[in-house]
Amino acid sequence: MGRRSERVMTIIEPVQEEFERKRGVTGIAVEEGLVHVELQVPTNLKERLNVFKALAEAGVSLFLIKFHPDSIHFLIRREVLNKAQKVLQRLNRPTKVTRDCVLISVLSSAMRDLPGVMARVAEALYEQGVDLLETGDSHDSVMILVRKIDSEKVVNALRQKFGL
Amino acid sequence: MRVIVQKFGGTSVATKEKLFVAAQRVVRAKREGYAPVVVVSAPGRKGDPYATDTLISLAKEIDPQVPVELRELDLLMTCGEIIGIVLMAQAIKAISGYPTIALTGGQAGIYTDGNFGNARIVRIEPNAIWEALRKDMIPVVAGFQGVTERSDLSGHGHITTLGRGGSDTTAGALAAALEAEACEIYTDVDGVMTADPRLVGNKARVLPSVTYEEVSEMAHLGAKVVHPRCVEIAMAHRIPVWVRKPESENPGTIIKERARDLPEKMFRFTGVTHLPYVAHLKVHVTHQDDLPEIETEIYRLLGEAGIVTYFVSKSKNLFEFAIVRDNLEKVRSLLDGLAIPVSVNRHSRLYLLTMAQKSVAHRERKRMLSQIQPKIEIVDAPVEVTTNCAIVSLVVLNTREVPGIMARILEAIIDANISLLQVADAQHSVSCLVLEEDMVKAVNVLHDKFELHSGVSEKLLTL
Repeated sequence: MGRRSERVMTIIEPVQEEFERKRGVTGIAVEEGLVHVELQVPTNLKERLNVFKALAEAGVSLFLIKFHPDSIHFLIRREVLNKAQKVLQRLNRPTKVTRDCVLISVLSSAMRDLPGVMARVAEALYEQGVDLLETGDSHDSVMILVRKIDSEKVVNALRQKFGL
Repeated sequence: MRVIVQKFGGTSVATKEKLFVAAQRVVRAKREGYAPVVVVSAPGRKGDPYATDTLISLAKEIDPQVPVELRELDLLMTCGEIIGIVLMAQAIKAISGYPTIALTGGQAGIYTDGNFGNARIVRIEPNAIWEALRKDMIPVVAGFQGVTERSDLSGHGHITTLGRGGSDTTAGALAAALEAEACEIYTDVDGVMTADPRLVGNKARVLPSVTYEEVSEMAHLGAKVVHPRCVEIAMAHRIPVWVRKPESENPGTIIKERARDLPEKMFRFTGVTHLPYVAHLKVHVTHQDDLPEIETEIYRLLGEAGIVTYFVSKSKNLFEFAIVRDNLEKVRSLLDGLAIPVSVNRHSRLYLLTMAQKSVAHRERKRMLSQIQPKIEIVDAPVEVTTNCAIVSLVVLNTREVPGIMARILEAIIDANISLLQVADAQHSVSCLVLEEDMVKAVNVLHDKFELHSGVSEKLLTL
C-alpha cells in the first residue's frame, strides 16, 4: 500500500462561483493519522541538531516543528512511528508521544492580509473546551492540532464560526 | 486564434526607449502568429509623475484635513494606467503599423465588487477584446482597474482599483478569461530567482521552471516578482505564466503545473526569501490552565485592531507570535497594562500584562487594581518583545516529504553563529525567525547550504 493511500485528508471548501476567489476563510482541511511528539531537549541548538540529524538519517520527515524553551515538538505520520520510536529510544530523552492526532487547517488564499482568524480559531477552541496540542500558521492557513476524539466538534465549531 | 497576454510593469514603460522595447515584444509576438493582448501598468516607479502615490498626493494636498472619498481616489489612481495604454498603443502602431485599441479595465469587461482600493474581480466579459482581435487589432488594456455593475449615480459602473499587484492580477484574469496559451509578465528582473541578488550577489540564479505553488510561496514570503493573486488565477485556469525582461533574450522563468499534479515523492529546493521588519512577542503566564483564556482575549484584541499574527506557537506557560514591526506601537498601546480577569476551576485571577519591566505605569495600575479588587489575586504577565527580527524562508516543493531539511538548516544556522528565535513550516517552505542583523547572513548560508547557486533548483528530485 502506497503512502498516499494511507492518508486521510478531507477538504471542506464551498464551490467557487465568482471569477476571483472571495477573500477571507475559504475552507477547512482535516488530516488524520498523525502523531505528535514532544521531546525534552535544552535550548542549545547543537543538541537539537543531533535530534533532527538522527531522525533524518532514519528517513523520518517531520512537520509542524516548534521550538520551545526546554523542548522541541513535531508531527510525524503514523506510518513512520515505528522508525521514529527506535530513534527516540536511542536518544534516551524524556518524550511524550500522542497518537491519533488530527491536523485541522483553516484555509485562506491570503492569511497575512486577514486579521482576526487566529482570534476566531482560539475562541472556537476555548468555547468547546478542547485541549489544543499545537498551533501553527502559514501564508495560506492557520493550523491546529487536536486529538481525534475532539476533531469532529472542533471542525463543526470552526465551520460555524467561519460560515462554511 | 493563439491568444497570449503580455503585461508590462511601470519600469518597462517609464521612458520612450523602454516603451519601444516593450512594444517590440508585442510586435514580435504578432509576427510569430499570436494574437497578443497587452496589459500595461502606470509608467514609472514610486515618486514619478504618473505613479499611484504621486496621483494620490495631488488630491490629498488640496486640504490634508479633508479626506478624499475612496471612490474618487480610485478614479484618480486609474489615470496612470490610462496614460500607459495610450502611449503603448501609440508605440506599437508607430513601429509596426498594426492597428491597436486602448481599453480601460471597464471597457475590457472586467467587473469587480465595490470594494474601492482593493476590489475583487467577480466576472469578465471580454466581448470588446474578442471583437478587436477578430478585426486583427491589438487590444491594450489598462491594468489594476475594473468597474462595478451599472449604478444609478454614474449611469455606468464605478471605476475601481484592484489593490496591490493589480496589473499582474489583470493579466492573469484576462489570460484565464480568454483561455490564452500563456500569460507573459515583463518586469525588471530576468525571471524568478533563487534569492534576491542584492543579498547574495551573482550566486542568485534564474529558475527556468517552477510550479504555481512554489512561486506563490516565494511571493508570500517576500520575493517581489509576480503577485500571488495572478498566480492563483493562473493556477485555477492552468495558464502558464512567463516572467522575463523585455530587453533580454533569456527565456526567463515559466510558472506552470500544480504541485498536486506531480508525483508525491518529487521535491525541489527552490529558493530563499526574506521578510524584514518583524517583531516577536512572548506572553508569559504563570498558571498553565489560564493560558487559553488569556490567549483568546489577546488574539481577539489584535484581530479587532486589524493586526495579523505570524509564527503563532504555544507551550506550557507561554504563547508567542510575530507581527509586522509597523504594528508594534499599536500592539504596545493595546497590551501594555491590559488587565485580563481569568476564572478557571473556581480560581479567579487578574492578569496584568506588562511590556516594560518595573514601569511606573504598571506599578501604579497594579496598586490601583489591588485597591479596587482587594480579594482577587493580581498576577503579572510579562510580554517579552524582540523588536528587530526578520523571517528567512527556504522554499521547498513538497517540504513534508523530505527528511532532514531542519537538520541541514540548523547546521547552517549554527555554523554561522546565528540566533534562531523560532521556526515554522508549511507545505512548501520552512521559515526561520532570526534577528534582523543576521538576515543577510542567514539568506546567504541557506542559499549555500542547499547549493542553490549550483543549479539544484533547476530539476525536480525524487526521494
